Amino acid sequence: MTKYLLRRLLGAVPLVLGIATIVFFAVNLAPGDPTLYFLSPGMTQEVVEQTRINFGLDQPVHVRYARWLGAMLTGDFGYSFSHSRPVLDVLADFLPNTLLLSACALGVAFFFGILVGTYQAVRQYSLSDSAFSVVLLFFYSMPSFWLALMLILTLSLFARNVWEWPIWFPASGMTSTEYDFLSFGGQVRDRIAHLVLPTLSLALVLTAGIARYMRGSMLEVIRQDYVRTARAKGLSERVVVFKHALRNALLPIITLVGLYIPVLFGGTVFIETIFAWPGMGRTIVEAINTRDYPLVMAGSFFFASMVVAANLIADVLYAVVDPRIRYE
Amino acid sequence: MTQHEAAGAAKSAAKSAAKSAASSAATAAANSAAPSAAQSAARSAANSAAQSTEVEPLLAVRDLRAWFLTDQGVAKAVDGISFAVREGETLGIVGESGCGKTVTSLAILGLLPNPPARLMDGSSVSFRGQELVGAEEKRLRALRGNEISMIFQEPMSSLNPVFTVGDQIAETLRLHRRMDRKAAHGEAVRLLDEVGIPEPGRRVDEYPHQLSGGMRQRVMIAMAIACAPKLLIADEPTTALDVTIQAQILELLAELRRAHGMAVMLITHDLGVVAEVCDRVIVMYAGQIVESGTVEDIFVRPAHPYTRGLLASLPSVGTPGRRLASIPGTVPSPLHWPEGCRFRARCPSAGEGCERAQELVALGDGRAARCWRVGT
Amino acid sequence: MKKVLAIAAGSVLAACGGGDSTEVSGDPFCQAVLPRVAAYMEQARSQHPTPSDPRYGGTVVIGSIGEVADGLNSAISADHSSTQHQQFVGLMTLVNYDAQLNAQPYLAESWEISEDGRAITFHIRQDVYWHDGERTDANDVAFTYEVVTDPLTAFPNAAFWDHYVKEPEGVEVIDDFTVRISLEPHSEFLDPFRTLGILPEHLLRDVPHDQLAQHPFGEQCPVGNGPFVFVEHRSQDRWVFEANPAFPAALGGRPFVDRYVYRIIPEQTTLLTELLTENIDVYLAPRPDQAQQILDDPNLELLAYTFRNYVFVGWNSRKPQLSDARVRRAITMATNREEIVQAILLGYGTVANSGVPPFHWAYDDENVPTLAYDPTAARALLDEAGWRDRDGDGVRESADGTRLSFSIKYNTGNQQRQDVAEIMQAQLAQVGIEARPQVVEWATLLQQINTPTLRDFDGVVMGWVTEFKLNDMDLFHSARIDQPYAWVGTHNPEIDRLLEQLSVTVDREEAKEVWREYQAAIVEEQPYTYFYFPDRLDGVNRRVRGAVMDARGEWLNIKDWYIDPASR
Repeated sequence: MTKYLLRRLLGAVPLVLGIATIVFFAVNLAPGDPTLYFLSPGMTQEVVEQTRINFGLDQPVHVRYARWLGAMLTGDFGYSFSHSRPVLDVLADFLPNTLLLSACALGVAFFFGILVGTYQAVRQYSLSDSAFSVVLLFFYSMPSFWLALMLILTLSLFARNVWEWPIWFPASGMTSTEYDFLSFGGQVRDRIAHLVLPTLSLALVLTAGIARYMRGSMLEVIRQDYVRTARAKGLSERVVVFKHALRNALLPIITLVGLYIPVLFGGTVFIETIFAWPGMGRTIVEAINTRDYPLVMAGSFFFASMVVAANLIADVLYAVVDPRIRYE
Repeated sequence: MTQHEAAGAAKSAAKSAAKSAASSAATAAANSAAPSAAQSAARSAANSAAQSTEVEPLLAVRDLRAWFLTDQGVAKAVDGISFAVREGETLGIVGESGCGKTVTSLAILGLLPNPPARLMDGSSVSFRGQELVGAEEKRLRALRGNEISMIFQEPMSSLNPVFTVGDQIAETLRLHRRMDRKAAHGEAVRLLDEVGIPEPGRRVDEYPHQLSGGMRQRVMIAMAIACAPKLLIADEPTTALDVTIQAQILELLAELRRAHGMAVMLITHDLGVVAEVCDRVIVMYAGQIVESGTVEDIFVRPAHPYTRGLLASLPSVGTPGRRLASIPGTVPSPLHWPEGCRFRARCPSAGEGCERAQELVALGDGRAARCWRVGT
Repeated sequence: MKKVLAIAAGSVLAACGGGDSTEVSGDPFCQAVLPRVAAYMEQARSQHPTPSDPRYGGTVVIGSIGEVADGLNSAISADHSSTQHQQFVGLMTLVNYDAQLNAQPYLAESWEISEDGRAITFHIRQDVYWHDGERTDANDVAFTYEVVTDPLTAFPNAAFWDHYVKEPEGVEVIDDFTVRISLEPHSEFLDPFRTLGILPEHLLRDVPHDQLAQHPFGEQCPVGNGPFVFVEHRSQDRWVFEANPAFPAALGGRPFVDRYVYRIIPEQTTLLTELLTENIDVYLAPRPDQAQQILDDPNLELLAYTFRNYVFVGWNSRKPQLSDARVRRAITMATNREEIVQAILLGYGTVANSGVPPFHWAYDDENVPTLAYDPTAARALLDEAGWRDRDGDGVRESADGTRLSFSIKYNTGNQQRQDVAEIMQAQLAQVGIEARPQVVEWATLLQQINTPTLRDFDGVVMGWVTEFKLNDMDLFHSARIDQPYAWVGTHNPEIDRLLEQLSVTVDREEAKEVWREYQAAIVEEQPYTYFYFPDRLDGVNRRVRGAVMDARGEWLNIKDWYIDPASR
């Protein structure tokens, strides 16, 4: 198993470097000059040139590439023009926020997806099975940003102003403006309250897909002989379903972990923008717009690495859940 | 074969010198359509002895009707069968695929999927005096794996691939015997040894995919006998196994039966196996019992044309080159059992009087056959 | 399942500690200066206790889609939000404008202009302190002036100092609180000092001027002397300021509110929701279609006023189809700009005929002829210019066969500009002109129009924000034709002359005459089709009292805002 992991890790290195190279050239060869972003009336050509030199943009592309690659290997990701800070600082600020949101969304999605899918399989053809299918199809078809806006309108605006519910959620931000003055318990509650809407926007779409897969997988597993054996041993239906059947049905779901993580990162851009979540997705898009090369490249590099890592984790999970794979 | 398998083969070969001929399953049975006289005599004696006393049977099935309500109609898979299994007795249920034998076994334990299967009113399955049809699920679960165990046909897929064999055996022990983890684990090792698995201490922590088919079936058996059940239902336990392994498994079952005083209900389509192991036999066709009796009765004096046809279709080693006789036609669909005698379309003796639905005709000494020609 | 929950819980807890993206950690400059600020503020709070007036207290929250991109570093910023925060929140400017756009004292207590108009002497207040305890004095003013007039700094509004004498001779420190600046007489010469926040010399004097743009002072630990003290900046999330107790009593003393938070929310629907659920007090620049909801809500009020930005379509006069001023005038006449204002801005705007805003003293719409919507006249003018539809395809051609067809570019992400382009297309088609709207990504578009050797566009929908000192030199003067902003390539001696004269005319009455001539000349030349000055809208919660917003800015009197005590 360790050999297997090592091999995968080594294989990942050229993969990530290759992605980084492609990103570098794609960004640097795109039209648009970052110095123009800072232009204003009255700036003479000399000043523009000076700015360009200040940002190190006067060198030819391949020289810049070599310098960037070399610096990166020593952990120096350069300086972000648009944030006026080292790139690593910028990433350190925003990456955890995106990871938090993604982890919560994944957690919620897998938890409810597995639960609902299992329930549907066990109660196949019942009314609730069909009802769930309809509801899930609805969420599956929704673009996450539309869902986000709808959630804001219903659970934030209408809930407070129109229906006057006792609970309503804030429409944006990670914390409220009074966060620093709250007690510890208050702070935890504040954070959770701010997490609800963005997490739901991301998770609901994923939940639908996972439930669908889970249902199919579970239906197949439930027909298996070993499930019948388990029943014949006198085990309660709950143990049969949640111990014997579930673990086997989870195997294809684990594939989804590796698949959904990049999907999630893509989706976070919209969600982060709509909910004013200070995350990596938004930051990278803005960096692209302002041609902040160092930040774009570092951000893409990190995203690619995380996708590779996610797939690696999925492989490990496989081995954990299915002993047959361990001994191959 | 691995070394272990070879050893196992040697062991059982040593044990059953007399049965070496019968080791080649069907051919052996064909050789001598009757088991060795001594054995069957002993068994018949035991049976008659059991019969003559008024002991209540361990399992009494009366007028069991298991119907499947599907979109295409009602499939009357089991259409009114009655039989009994006495303590310590081995009952064989024989028939072609589709005759309802597996459904019968599942119905006893209440393992038929509730839609679409239903046990119709009037069905009764009584175990040690307790009525199982319509009983609370809790009651049934207490019996399963405990007093009534079941093993299945496909050892390859009947064990859960993600748990160790030890865990799966221990599960029964912890459930029914309330053993703690450690005790159950120890007992699982002992059981593995009892069913003839070498190096049980190592094997107990292995996964099913690491064991061969024969070993997995032994594990299934270990699981089934873990709580010393009174009745073991074995649904085609050897059908999916190699011929040599078959013999070993059957030997094992016989041993365990002797050691634990267990009754066994053996479901099979293989007459050779029946000859090997069973005391009494019931033959099923089209959801009904068409003949019942002792093993000797069935093999030496088959009464029903279907039974005769089955016996005739066994290949005979003694007469090579002869074309295999077969029963013409196929089993009818349970959605539309034919009117009158269900075997009529395939029966060589069909004629006047066969257009009526046939009743079981008692022939004395526990023998019966569903054909009006019997007894004439 | 349990495992997943555990991971989720772990992330929440982990992010609890690391979720705040305060930018303090790391930079030695910030680590050195912020504790001094904290210490001084402690002291100031005890020396200047809060008066018992009930208006004091509370937090005001402003929400907007944009970051304060350059922070409080006035040497390198042109972004509107940034300059507003420099002027009114964190720093102090030498002068402020009143409602009549006349300069009033602020950091400068008084000033004199020499007889020949070639020098201004500013007298600085003596009761203003930087937030780390140092006193603000003439050295700070001199330092700031040196920095912004040094080309190495790349001060974005370099045009401000066109007629000022650059450093080092341009500024002279007479004594601790007196500084003299040299200039050539020119119009609105005080306007730059209205917007330029004075920087602390004692903190920044050792920074090489070309590295000021990257210095953490701007966005990570700005130390000012204004009514509000910087507390923290979470990138892309919020800025937090608190009231400065040591702000001079003569200027009003500390602001009423205890804290001011600026929140960045990039999505306008979310901003509106936050305003309606009273999570933010002020929503800057809602869209016109959101205005009604703000008006409908009894807790909110909508402030609307004409602002200093305008939208236009610039025509590349280097292209054969657009080189004739008659064609450009015809285009403008064929466009129903009044209707466009109604349609796109829902009435929240004023039609523009030049770059002079309607509230400006130089504005004159009575005596200056404008081009009204008149398709018939447009067609006649096009005919006269030699453009006729010779082949009956609905599009005019010139005598040599060139079709009167061109593209109108606009940038992604701006619905209003897209609407302008598309409406023009429809209306110009009526007079036989084929206009093709073309969307281009922002940075790419900038490169296409700004690069003197490229000028890859025909028409482009753009906008300008002006200062109160109006200066079209960079846009239309032929001497600047190879500078980035001379997009349209105007080469008109009359306009050159007027521009030059305007830049040196000091007296406003005198200037008004010239402005009249200039505006007429612009109408004649039509380098741009000017569209509108959109009204600036702001949604304000009624619990915020005393907010005055107009063309001078939104944060104009933020130090005088107070929260209704009943709603705190």
